[in-house]
Amino acid sequence: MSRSKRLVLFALSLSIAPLIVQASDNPAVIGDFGLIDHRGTQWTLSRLGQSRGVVILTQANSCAQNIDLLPKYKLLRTTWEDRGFEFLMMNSSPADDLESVRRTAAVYDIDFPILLDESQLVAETLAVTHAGEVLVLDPRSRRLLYRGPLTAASGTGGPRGVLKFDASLEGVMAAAAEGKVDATAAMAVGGALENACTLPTPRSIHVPDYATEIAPVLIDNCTRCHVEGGIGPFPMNRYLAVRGWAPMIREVLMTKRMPPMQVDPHYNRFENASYISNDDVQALVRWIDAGAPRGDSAVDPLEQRVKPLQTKWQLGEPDYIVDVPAFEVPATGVVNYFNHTIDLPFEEDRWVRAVQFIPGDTRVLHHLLAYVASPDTPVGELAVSEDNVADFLEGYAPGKMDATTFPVGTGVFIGRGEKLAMQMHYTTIGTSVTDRTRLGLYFYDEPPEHKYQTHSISHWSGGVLKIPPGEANHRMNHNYLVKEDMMLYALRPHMHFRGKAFRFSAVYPDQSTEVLMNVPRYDFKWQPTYRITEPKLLPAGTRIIIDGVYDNSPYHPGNPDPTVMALGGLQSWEEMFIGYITYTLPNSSE
Amino acid sequence: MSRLSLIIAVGLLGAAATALAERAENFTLRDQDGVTHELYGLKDAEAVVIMIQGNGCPIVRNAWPVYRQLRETYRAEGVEFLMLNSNLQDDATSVRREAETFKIDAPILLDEKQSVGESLNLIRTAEVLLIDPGTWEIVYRGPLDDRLTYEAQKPAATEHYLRDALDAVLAGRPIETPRREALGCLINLPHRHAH
Repeated sequence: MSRSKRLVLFALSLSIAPLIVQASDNPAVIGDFGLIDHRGTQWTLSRLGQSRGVVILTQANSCAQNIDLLPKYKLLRTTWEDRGFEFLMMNSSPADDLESVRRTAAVYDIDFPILLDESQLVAETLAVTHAGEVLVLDPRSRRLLYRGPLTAASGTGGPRGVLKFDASLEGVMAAAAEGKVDATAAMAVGGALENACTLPTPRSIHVPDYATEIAPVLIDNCTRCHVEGGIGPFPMNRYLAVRGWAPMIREVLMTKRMPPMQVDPHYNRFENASYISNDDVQALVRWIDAGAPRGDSAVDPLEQRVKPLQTKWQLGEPDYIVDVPAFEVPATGVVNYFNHTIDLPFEEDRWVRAVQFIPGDTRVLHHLLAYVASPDTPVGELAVSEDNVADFLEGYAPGKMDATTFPVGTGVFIGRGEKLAMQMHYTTIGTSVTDRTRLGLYFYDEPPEHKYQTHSISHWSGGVLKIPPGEANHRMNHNYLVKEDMMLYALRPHMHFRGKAFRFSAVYPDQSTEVLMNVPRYDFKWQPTYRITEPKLLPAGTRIIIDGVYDNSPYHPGNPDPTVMALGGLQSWEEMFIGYITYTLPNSSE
Repeated sequence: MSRLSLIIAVGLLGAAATALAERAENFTLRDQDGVTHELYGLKDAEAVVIMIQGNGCPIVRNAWPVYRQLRETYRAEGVEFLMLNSNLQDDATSVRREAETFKIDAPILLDEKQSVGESLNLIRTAEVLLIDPGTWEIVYRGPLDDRLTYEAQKPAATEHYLRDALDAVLAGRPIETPRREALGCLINLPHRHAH
């Protein structure tokens, strides 16, 4: 095929791709994206900067021909993996789901991570239309270096029966392995695809309507924080705001940075996690890629329906109000945790039924954790430790303005003389402000049946936590044996800036296992206590396992220093590894 | 056919090509207080710095205090510091409110038609452009320093790109890395390709 014909073909294949809004004029430049694989690990292109190249083989369960590619793809990996490449697969078929991909992986012994492009948006962005195509991406410049077949066409490229990879593919791999890929390198296109299938047509390809389809998604998922005065840095209060921010909205959706506090939707359900459905993400991105049109509706729902920030005591006047000491937040910089312990005036034991936080300035209060501390805890600015924390009370996280009412028949115990210890984390917004947060406590008249309590599974201290400089996948694990039947209500992972992923699992007494919660993209800035929608009974003898992954590479945004060994410690530039479990003991006679 | 001939050069107009010599065209814009600024009117300055501003961008807001400090240091050496807003969603009223809230006392030039943003190939806010008024060449463009990133910041910057570039320009030395990928909020320039 002549060069000019190839150019025309390539131009045609690009013209069916949606407009890549944020990229430069170079069509090989793609936006960043993140996908979760069939084992629950998130892969984000920009975070793979230590890799010479990211190789992806597209796959569909229904494409039997793909199976012939597997041994060849394994051979490509064997040939090149010690030169610093990642070898992945990607499923963008609307006909497949996690279960069927897992079955395919088990049946055909696929040991590659299979990325689940459940909204098909990565395929659309990369103009992938076939299962059985190979893509090579440069994670640093986020460019497509190669697309085409894995192998050379049958009967070409060497003696019969000898496997020959596509020549362009090998050329790109060789250049990338030697770091000879620079910003001016062009994308290579291989020969005709073999052992490939056309991907099934997406369920829907229409451009969603702003007023009836887009605005409701934004109101349901975004405007709790993106409201005037909220912690979201800009309000989504009219069409023009959303249109202007559209490329940014696309980027944070494609990388799963927003909505924050996402947990893997395939494992349990947490009432305060941010879930956004694949259909909603698909609608938003399709609308953005179509130029974010206003549509015909005369009414702008964002101007009509956005709820103002809640600043009232939702359950009426609290039984006791704590005024958190004022805190001056500077204009910019990293603010260390502000710890403060205060006296409580209670002459007798109290059982807390509900708690509500009202932040003084929702733009800066990033989170607040409140603990019940022992009577001998000194008042003032001292970090609480396991020695003096009697129990966890409740936490505030952005977007959570509602009161928390503990489950019926349960409450947090505050003994006579005990104190309230608080840990606050502030974020800077570019101008200095003073925060005065209030905390309202509601008590039971009679002690409830069960104590709502929290245990930390941890072993950060004692020199165990040592993350080598540059290490992008440092693993930690720990476990806890459940000694008597436990009703599990909430989980909270805790790591610091280098935290990358966190998982809670249970090994039941019959040796069956279950993932309780998977946080594939841990973010230090968003770490609420996740409340399980359906509390879970863990019988005595269950072992709870926590698994953490740390990224001490320069490609982890916000890594305070990728050149040093990160050690365990309380400050945010040091590291921690804790899994908090919140529960009651239903059979206990406490 | 050689292997190389299969490698097709696709349009390289973006970051790659603009990394070569790139001149800032003249423009005249009003700032948030109604004052008119003409870029080429600053021909007697030693250097002109423009930070791309956008209301609501956390990286711009957190970079501003550092940008102001640099202005205090380099103003005496004849360097002009401006800001430019090419956002579709912002207007004079909202920019004025943003400037008041975040105590921004630099002129924020309002590119309401987005034509300046298009001619400067803007992609993200918080990018800084360092312009040599002798040639109107953009001699550095990229982040101000390495302190701020998406939803996170480091306790302190370890690289001071703009400061180093300014020192180089004022000393008549070449800038070691004249182009770096900017981190900030993507700017919607819907007519970018129409011109």
